[in-house]
Amino acid sequence: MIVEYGPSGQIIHVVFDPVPPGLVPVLVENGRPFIEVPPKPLPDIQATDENGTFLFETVEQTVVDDNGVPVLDDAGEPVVKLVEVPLMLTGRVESVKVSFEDNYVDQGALALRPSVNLPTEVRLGIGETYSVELPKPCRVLVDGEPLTIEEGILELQGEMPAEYLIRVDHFPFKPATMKVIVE
Amino acid sequence: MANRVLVSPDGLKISRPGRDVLTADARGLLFSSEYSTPPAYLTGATWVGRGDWVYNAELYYWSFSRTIYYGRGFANPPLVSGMFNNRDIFCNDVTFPYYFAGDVFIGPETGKVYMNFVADRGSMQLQGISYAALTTGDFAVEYVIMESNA
Repeated sequence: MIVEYGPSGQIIHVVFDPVPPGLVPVLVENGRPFIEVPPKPLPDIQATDENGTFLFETVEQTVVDDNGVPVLDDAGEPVVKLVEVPLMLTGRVESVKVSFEDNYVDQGALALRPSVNLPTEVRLGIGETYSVELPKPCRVLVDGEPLTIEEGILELQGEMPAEYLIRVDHFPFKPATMKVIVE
Repeated sequence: MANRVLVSPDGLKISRPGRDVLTADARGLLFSSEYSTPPAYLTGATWVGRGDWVYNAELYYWSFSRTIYYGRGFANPPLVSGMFNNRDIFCNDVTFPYYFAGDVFIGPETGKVYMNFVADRGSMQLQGISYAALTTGDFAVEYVIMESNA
């Protein structure tokens, strides 16, 4: 898998496995920031038919004596016998799961976007206060109006009955929304 | 080493290097006689966030543009199809260069997303126009390029 990302590490494009062989040189040539996320190898398993019955294949096997030495025929050639062995599925791989919303690229590696510890709803009485710890600094939207919290603490104070919607939208943190109800 | 060729009563399949033909899905196959259409050359998804939209103050609309590289040229534009956030709203448009186009509902107003496929440069342009882009939030476009006429 190819993961292209923007200046902040936001994933902007993903090419799923199998990646065409000519793609990486083109990305390099065009100066596109990307990482390669190879698929994870899976263990070999025995093949089954459509009914779930295990499949076997017939292979030639060299006959050996008790000491592990190949047995030779009169002509001096190794003696072989036909044996049935499990038909194995090999080379199985599983692509790494990448999410535009949950992942980003940090220092050249795929990483999980951190979350802001924000309650979904806060109820305040008149005169009451409530503090929310945020990344420092942090961009928030209060009823759609952008605001930058420099100190990492958003202090809410209930002054009059109202409802507000506070959205934290500060990459790489995952967006979070809190409803504030002053009663 | 992976099994790469399968001849069965159902037909013939050939997998891509490193993929086991017994387990490969359509993207892992170079050829399958089961398909009336060719297998995929490339599948991917791109992200369009709020910050990707640029406002055109003269024409009063928001737009975005993103180049997607696919790493090779094609003699003719291949078939490209896709989905918008798992809603299959795109239809193929045979008028070059918009081989991948459709109306998408991206907010209170309808916008458009186009795939402008450049056959010989190994890239295509994802372009979108909306009159209410900021209300739409973020979205993803998944696409598939068919290996039709390499």
